[in-house]
Amino acid sequence: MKNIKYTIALFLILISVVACVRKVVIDIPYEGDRITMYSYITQDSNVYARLTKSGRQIDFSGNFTTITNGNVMLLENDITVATLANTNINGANWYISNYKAKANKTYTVKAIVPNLPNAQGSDATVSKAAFKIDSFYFKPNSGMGNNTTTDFVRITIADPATENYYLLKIFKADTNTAATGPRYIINENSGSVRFIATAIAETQDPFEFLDPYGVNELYFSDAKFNGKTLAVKLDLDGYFSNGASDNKIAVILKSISKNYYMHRVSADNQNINSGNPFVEPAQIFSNIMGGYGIVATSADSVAFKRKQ
Amino acid sequence: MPKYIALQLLICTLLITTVAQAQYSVNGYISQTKSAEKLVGAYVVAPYFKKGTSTNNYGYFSLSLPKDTATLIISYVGHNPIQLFWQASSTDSALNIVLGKVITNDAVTVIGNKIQKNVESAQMSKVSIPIEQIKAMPKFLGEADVLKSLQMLPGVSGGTEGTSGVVVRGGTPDQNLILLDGTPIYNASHLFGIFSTFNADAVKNVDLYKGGFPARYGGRLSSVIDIILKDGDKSSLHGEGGIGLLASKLQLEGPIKKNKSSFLLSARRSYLDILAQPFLKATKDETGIDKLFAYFYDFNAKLNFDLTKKDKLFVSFYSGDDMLKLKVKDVAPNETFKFGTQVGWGNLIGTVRWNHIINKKLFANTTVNYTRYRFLTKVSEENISPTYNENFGAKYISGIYDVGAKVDFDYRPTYKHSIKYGVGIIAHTFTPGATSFKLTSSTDPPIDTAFNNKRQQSIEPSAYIEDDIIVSDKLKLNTGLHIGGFKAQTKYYPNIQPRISGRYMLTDRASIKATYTRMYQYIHLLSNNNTTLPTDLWVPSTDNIKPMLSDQVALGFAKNINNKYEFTAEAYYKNMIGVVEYKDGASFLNSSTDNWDKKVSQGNGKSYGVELLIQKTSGRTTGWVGYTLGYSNRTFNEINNGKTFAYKYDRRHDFEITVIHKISKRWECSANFVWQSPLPFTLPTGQFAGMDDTSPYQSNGFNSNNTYDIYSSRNAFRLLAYHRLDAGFTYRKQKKRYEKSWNFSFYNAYNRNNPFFYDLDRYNAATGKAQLNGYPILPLLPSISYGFKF
Repeated sequence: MKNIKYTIALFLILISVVACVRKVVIDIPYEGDRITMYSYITQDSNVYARLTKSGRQIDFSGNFTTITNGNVMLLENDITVATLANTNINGANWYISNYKAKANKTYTVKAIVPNLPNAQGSDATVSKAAFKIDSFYFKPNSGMGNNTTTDFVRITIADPATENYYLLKIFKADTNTAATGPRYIINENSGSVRFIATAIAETQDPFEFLDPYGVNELYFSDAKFNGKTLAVKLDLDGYFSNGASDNKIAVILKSISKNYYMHRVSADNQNINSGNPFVEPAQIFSNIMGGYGIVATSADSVAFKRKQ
Repeated sequence: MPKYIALQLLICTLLITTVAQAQYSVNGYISQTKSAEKLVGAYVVAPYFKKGTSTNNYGYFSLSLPKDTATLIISYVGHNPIQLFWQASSTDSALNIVLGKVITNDAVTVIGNKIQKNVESAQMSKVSIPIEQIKAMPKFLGEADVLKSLQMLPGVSGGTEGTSGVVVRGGTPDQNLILLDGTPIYNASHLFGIFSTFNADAVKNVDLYKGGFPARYGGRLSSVIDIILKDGDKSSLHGEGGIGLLASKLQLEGPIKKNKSSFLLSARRSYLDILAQPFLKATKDETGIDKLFAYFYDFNAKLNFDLTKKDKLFVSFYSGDDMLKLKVKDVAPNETFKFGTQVGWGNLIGTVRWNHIINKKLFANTTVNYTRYRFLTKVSEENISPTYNENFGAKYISGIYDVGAKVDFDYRPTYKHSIKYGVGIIAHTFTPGATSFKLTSSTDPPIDTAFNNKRQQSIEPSAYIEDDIIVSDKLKLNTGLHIGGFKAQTKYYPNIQPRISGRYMLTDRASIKATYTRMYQYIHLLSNNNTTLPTDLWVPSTDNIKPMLSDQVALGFAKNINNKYEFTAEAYYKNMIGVVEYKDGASFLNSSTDNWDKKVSQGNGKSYGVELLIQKTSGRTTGWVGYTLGYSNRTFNEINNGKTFAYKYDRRHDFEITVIHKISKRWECSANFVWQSPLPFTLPTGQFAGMDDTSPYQSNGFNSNNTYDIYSSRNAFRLLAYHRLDAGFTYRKQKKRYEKSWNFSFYNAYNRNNPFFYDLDRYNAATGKAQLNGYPILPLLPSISYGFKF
C-alpha cells in the first residue's frame, strides 16, 4: 500500500513539473488589399470621392496608400453621367465631378484600379428635412464649464411618414456682411457646438447618449416619431457662452440615407469601444461591393436664429 | 382564439378519460435503509398487471390497480430490489417502503423487473445523473462539481474554459432554470465561474431537462436543472467531510426526534486567504496590504418533519457568498493613507414545503420560497494629515429578489393517468444597478449622492396541468399546458405554453419519441462576456423589451441493449424569439442607467442538432459516451448589419466519454474526456482608412489618420478545438467507526493548452503578421483531497 502512495506522490510531482502555461498563437487570415471608397453625395452639389487601399493589421495608424490611378465613374439611375477626375485639394487627393446630384435619383460610384478588385456602391438621394427653430435662449458668459446647460435651442421637426434618418449639428452664426446672399452665415471656424437633445414628449425620445456630456453631431432615426412632429430641446454646452461675442445660432438638420446613418453610427461605435474587452467589436457598415467605405446621400436644411 | 379552443379540448379530454373505473390504489413513500432518505425516481411495478410508476421529488408514489391484491417489486439504481405482497385495506394509510442500499463491487442489476426508464417513459431530453456518479468523477482541485458534470453530457457544454457555466442546445447561460429544492438560484457559480455553488455532499438528486419540458416548469427557454437536497438522516447522527487544496467541508445530519424529524447542516469554505496570511504579513511593509479576505462559502441547512402520517414539512436554507476584500494602509510621519476595495456576490435562498396526502390518489405540495442574488462592489479611500482630511466612498449594487408561492397537486385517478396541476406566483424585485458616492473633506463641501436607485417590481403568475396518459400498451403521451404571464412596467404579457410528448414502443426494448414545447422567459441576463460573470445584470421584461419565446421540437429513439446499455438518439430544432444582446457599443459599464432597455437589441435565434448517448448504468464499469452535432445562430436587425451570425457558443461537434471503474473493494478510478469544435470569435482581418468629412472643402479636410478595423462578420473566425482529459483515483477504507477516503485527481491530465482568454497582436515583428495570442490558465492541475464519513 505504501508503495502505491509513494508512486502516486512521485507521479504528481513529476507531472506538476511538466505542467507549464504556454502562449497559444493563431495566425489571422488576410483577405487581400481592396479599395476603400468614400463618396458622400449631397443633393445640388458636386460629387466627390476619395480612394485609398486597405491593408493588413498594422501596429500604427494613418499609413494607407492613397489611390491616384483609379478610373472612377458616376452613374445616375445606372447610366454613366460623369467621370470623376483626380484632383489635389488642400493637400489631399480627391476624385471630383462638376455634375450636380439631383433629387429622386439613384447614384452609383464605380472605381476600377489596377491590381485591385473593382469596387462600387449605390445610394438613392433623400428629400430635405422640414424643421424650424422655435426659440433660442442664450446668456453671454453664463457657462460654468462642461455640461452646464443654461443655454438652449428648441426646434420642431416635421417628419414624413416614411423611414427617415437625420444628422443634427449646431454652429454659431455670423451676420452676412456680403452685399448679397442670406442674412446669416454659418461660422464654421469655431467648430460645431456640443449639445444634448431631449424630445419634449418622452415617449417619442429617439436620442441615446453614451457620453453624458453630449455630442457635436447627433445621428438619429425617426423610428419613435415616424410621420409625426417632434419637438426637441437642445441644451448647449456651457462653453458655448464663454466669451461669446455673438448671439446668433445655426442649426443644420441633414436628412441622410439609411446607408449614411448605418455607416456613421457603426463607425462611431467602433471608435468609442476600441480596446474595450467587454464589448463585442462593432462591424462597420459598408455598401461597397468588392471593397470598404460608403457611398451615401444627404440633403441639408439650415435654420438661423437670433437670441430672444 | 385557437389557443383557447385547444385548451378547452384538452381539459375535456382529461375529464373524459379520467372517469374513474373500479380501481384500487396503493401509495406511499420509498426511502433508503438506515437514513430514511426519500428516494426520487424509485420504481414500483406490479408485473402481473403490467403496471408501474415511479416516485416523485418527495419519494412519494401512487399506483392504481384493477384488483385489491398485487405483488409489487420496488427497485432503485444501486439498491437491492424488494418484492412485497400488497392487499388493499379500508384505511388510507400510506406505505413506507425501505430499500436496502447495496455497496458491493458488483452493482445490482434489476434485470427482468427493471423499468426501462429511457425506453418506456414518454419524457425525452431528460438526463438524471446519480449523485454517487457525480462524486465518483474526477475532481477539480479536490471538489466534485455538479454543473461541471452536466457539461459532460451531449447537448450541454460549458462556456469559457474551466468555468461551470452551462449552455444547453445553443441557448444562453441565463436560459437555464436552476432549482435548488424547487427554488430558483440566479448565479450558481463561485470564483467567477470556476466552481458551482452546489456542495455535492448535500445533494440527493440532479435532473436535467434539455427539452420536452413538463408543463410544471416554466420561465426559461433552454433547460431545467432540478437539484434536490438530502433530507437528513432520521435514525442516527452521521457526518461527512473533506479537506481539499482549495476548500474544506463538513456535513452533519441526524434526527431531531428519532424517525420523526431530521436535520442536515452542510458547510464549505475556501481558504486561500488564510493560507496567504503569513506571506502577507511578511511583505506588509512592501505591499502595504493590511488585510485580505478572498474566499467563498456555502451553507446548506434542511429540516424535515413528519407532522402526521399524511403531512410532512421541509424547511431548506442556503446561503453562499464570494468575497474579495482588500485593505491597504500606508502610514507616513505626517500622513496616513487608507484604501479599501471589496467585490462580493452571493445567493440567499429559503424554502418551506408542506407535503400533504389528501387521499390515496391525490398528493399536494405547497411551497413558499425566497431567493436573492446580489452583487456589490465598494471602494473607499481616506487621507488623514494634520492639515487635511478627506474621506471618499463609492458603492455599486445590483440584484434580484424573488418571493414566491405555489401549490402543486399530483393526482393518479387510474393507472392510465398521472395528472399534475398547480398554481403559483412570483413577486420579482429587480435592482439592475444603483451607484452612490460620498465625499467628506476638511476643505470642500461634502458630497453625498446616489443615482439610478431604481427598482422594478413585477408579478409572474402561472398555472399548469399535465397528464401522463397510457393510451395503449405501445403509446404513451404526456400532454400539458402552462399558462403564465408577467407584469412589466405598464404592460402585462399573458401567454399559453402547450407541451406534448409521446412515446411509441417499437419492441419491448426500443421506442421512438417526439415532443413539442413552447416556453416563455420574462427575465434576461445582460452579459458582455463569454461566460456568466457576477457583474452580469438580471433585468426584467419591460414595456420596450418583450419576454423571450422558444418553440422546440425533438424526435428521439431509445433502446435498451441487453439490460446493460441504454442508447438514445435525439434530433432537436429550437426557434427562439426575442433573445437579448447589448447593441454594438453598449456594455454593463454604461448600461446601469434608467434606460438600460434602450441599449439592448432583441432578435431571433435558431439551434438544431443531433445528440447521441450510450450509457452503461450497471456493473463494475459504468459511464457514458456522448456526441452532439449542433448548430446555433442569431439574427438581430441592429447587429452584424442584420445578417445572421454564429452564436458565440456554436460548437459543431461535441464528443465526450465518462468512465467510472471499481478496481477493487477499496480502489476506484474514473476518467472523462471531452473534444469540442472551435468556438466562433470576432476578429479584425485587416484595416482601412476612415473619412469623417464629406467634401474637400470642409474645415478639417480629409482625415486620413482615422483607422477602422475590418470585420467580415460577427463570429466569423473559429478559435482552437477544445479537448481535455481528467482522471481520478479514489481509495476508500472502512475503519472501525468511520470510513476514510483519499482522492487523487488530475484536471487536464495531458496538459492541453486550452486558452482562457485571447488578445490581438496586430503586428508581430518576427512574422510580419497579425496574430491572436491565447492564454491558458488551467494547465495540468493535480489535486489531492481527504474525505471521511461516519
